[in-house]
Amino acid sequence: MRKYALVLLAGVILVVYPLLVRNRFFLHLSIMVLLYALLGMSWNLLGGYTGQISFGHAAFFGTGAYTSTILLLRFGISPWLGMLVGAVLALLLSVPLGWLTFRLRGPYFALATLAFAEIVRVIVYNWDTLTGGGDGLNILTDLGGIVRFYYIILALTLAGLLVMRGCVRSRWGFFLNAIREDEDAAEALGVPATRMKVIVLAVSAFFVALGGSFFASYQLYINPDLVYESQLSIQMIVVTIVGGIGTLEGPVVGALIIVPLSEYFRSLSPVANPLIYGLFIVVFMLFLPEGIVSRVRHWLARRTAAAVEEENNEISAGV
Amino acid sequence: MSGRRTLPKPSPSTPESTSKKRMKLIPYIQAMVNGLLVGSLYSVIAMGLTIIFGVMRVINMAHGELIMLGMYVAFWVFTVFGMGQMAALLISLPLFLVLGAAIYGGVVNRVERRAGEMGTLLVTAGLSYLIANAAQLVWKADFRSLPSALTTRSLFLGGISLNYSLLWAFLAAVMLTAATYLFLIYTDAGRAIRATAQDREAAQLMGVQIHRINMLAFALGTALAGMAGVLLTPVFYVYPYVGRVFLVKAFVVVVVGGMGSIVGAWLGGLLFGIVESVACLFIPSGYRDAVGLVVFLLVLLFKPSGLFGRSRV
Amino acid sequence: MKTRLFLLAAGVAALLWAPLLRVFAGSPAPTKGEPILIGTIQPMTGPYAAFGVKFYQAYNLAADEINAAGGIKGRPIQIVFEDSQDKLDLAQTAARKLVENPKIVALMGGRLSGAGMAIAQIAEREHIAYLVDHPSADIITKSGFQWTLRLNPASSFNSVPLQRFMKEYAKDIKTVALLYENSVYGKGVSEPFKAWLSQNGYQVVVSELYPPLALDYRDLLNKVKAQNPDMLFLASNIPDSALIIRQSHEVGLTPKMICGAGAGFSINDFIEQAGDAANTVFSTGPWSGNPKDPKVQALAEKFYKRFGHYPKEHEAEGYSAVYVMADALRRAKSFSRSDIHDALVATDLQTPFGPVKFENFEGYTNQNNGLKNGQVVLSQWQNRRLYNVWPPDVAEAKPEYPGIYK
Repeated sequence: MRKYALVLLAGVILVVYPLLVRNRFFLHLSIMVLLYALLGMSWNLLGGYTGQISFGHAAFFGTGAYTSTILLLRFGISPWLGMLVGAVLALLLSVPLGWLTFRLRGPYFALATLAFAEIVRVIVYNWDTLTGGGDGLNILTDLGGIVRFYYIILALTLAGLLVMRGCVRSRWGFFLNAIREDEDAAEALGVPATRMKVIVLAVSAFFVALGGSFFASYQLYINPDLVYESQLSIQMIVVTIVGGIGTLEGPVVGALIIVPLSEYFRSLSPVANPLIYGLFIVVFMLFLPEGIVSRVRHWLARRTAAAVEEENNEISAGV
Repeated sequence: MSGRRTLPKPSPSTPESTSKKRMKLIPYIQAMVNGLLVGSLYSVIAMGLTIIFGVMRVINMAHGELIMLGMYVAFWVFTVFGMGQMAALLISLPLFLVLGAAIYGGVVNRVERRAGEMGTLLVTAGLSYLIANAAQLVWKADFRSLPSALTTRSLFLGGISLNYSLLWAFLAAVMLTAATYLFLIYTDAGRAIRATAQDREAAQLMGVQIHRINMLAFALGTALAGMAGVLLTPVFYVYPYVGRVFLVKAFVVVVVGGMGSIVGAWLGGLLFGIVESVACLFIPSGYRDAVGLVVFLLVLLFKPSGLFGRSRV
Repeated sequence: MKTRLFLLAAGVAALLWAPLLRVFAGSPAPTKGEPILIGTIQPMTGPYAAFGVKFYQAYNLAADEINAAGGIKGRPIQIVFEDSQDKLDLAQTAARKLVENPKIVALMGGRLSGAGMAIAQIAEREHIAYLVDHPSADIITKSGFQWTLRLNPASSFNSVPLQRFMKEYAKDIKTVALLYENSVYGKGVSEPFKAWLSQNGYQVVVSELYPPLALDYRDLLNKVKAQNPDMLFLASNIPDSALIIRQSHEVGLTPKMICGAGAGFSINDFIEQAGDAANTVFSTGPWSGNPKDPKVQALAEKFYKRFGHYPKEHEAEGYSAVYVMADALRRAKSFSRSDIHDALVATDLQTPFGPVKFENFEGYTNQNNGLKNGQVVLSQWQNRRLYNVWPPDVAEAKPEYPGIYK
């Protein structure tokens, strides 16, 4: 009962938050936190739960961003619909990618996805009649104020969280863990590993593309550099690893910490902020490489184990 | 005075048709030669990475920054002491061996043990930000280059131009490859590295101390990166963020050539250079980058151990 | 249990935001004696940090001079720098942050055309004036934005002096090869020029859009050489510009004229990196001021004394931008953002970068008409210095044509 009350409280705070906060830059940061939580969660589904590190998610992000923007600018289609189309497109794009590359493991897979993302970027850059090439695409229609965008991303992220939770808590999650631990053994036991990974990649791509469409409508201007050579692609991964890869809450906690922190660093020193950021990452990885959530769970588990043992001792002592 | 170069008249003893045919071929031959020379730059960039990647299977995101540091070493050695590339190479070798060992021992090792590939990826990414920005703070963001006498002069052989700087880089790459190859074949440490790259567990069973080999591989890879930077300085520009330009290319060449294979990195780089250069003649150069990437993907999909590698995927 | 933990962790993380309030939150509106803050977003780190530095120097030089002369209505101006790392998403984040601070009265800078667009969008929605001093994409002032003003020429203006030169002086040019980088700048300066070429009977023998920051351009240059064009037109940033010129020498590419389109061809770094190979290379585009103007000479001397190098396009733009701001601040009815905006729109000022007057014409809004006021010129590197050579009324030296590229 208490658990539900807390969740309800958190929900209320999240919904009421923009009405309480006057500072719109704060709202902007909150939007970015939610966006990165969504992106991180989606990446994590593949990276944390199946163990395949992908550098190609930027391509899905870009697919979402460009699809909804092109549909809006060329055909006047609402970004809501455009977002869905973009997400479906990314999903379809991910299937052949997964099918082709999932036979590769570890760094090979990572590099293959990187090559894929780069190829997509080159195509976007050169197909300028469709994508505007290096000029980018500019949205002049009014799509709403910042509060509206907050609620949209909140809804998207919560939806993503629920879907991820569903994936992970079900039998699926069990299979995914098996795949991550030892794919060959899992296959030997009858887990259709490749098929599952393709599905996972598709879900992952879908949500990342939703994030991309959202961001394009929020930023109002996109160009190929934005979606492939911005902070987004690397930060998506940083947020997940810092929070705790392979955990459901990890990306959310990671986003809550990394987004304001990296912005704080940037404000602290215009000329030295990458150094501070890099230093932070190095130090963090030296002391908390498994991520915050995993570490906390581990600590909790030890405490629980200790408590249980103490209780057992008390029982056997006849207390 | 007109700036136009006049084509040499065919000599009376040569039939005109053969001469014309040779003229037509020249752009293709030039492209191949150029590709070969530029390819050796790619080889040199990839060499350090292939050892680290081959032995440890980790993605070192700071590889480009290590090359950048090598470039600055060459730059300062010349600017402050007036000494050339050979001196810079001799200074770089011990300097970067120590740096590599320090990075491995101080950072990479700990993270790799506790967080595997993912962790190493992120921590080296953090290092890359750190090193690049630190370089900017110390040496300023300006673009620098070496006013090398060789840089803009070319050797003209039968209508084909060969840039002296690139020729030297080509030879240096060959020597570096040969030296590393000999080290790997004929020394105990080298053999241990190769064994670990081929089959980590088997090597361990044979008594190889994996931890020591990892450190050696990382140090060696770093040293090769630094020396690559020295070789690149005359042909490119030195600035703190130049590392980014090299990173993806290095990985692509390493995979195409075969992880852990020095000869593979060398040949892979050459192949890459030639493919890019010749493709440029046929397709719009906007897609130039994509050509290499497509080749890369094809190799990954059909022969992931690389064209010359023998290690497992 | 786990949910509780999660909420606890989230709560702790959320608390981290509290100290950030101090950094990000705005404070009450400016009062007497307090500095007037102008926000700027520049790449202070990242590959183009060298340019962020140019603007940093130029802005501060101008601000120091203005403050030494008494400031604006007794108050000093202060430039607040934000690092964009040359990334668009960060440029917009920086803009949002600056806008939230009520003490910031206007924005300027951007450097990259893409960043300029991202900032312009914010300026338009948040009603704060954004003075563009370098981003050159036409679209920035062709989108109908009321709150964005640009003092530098749009990239399509760049090639106009070259066009004049070709029609009036270098009449024997018939074939042209174009190599331009795949970016907003590259396409922005080259495509209008290409259109003009076809409309005016020139033959475009090569037109290649190349990905920047490659190690080697020889294959491209060989392609050009095979066509033997009269003129080679380039649109590149540094370091590509210097690399291309050096390598074109090596492959033996010697057309009658090599002309760059500003950017990497009109800055000091170009001559430092390309050396003698850059001799007689032309550049068409924004300039560093009319050399016959004593104000420009004064700026050059001041700059050299303080920073050790001569100002070129970027520094002239930055320095003039601050003066445009100061002029508007003096004329503005109050220090509110909308009054400052109105004052900026009414600007009519002579600066070292040329005359600044924002006009609406041919689809442009609030654009300083560089075509009319001669803000774009054709210049040429002679003896390692950049001289204006066309049109004759602003020329400092005679054009060396055909150029000698051996």
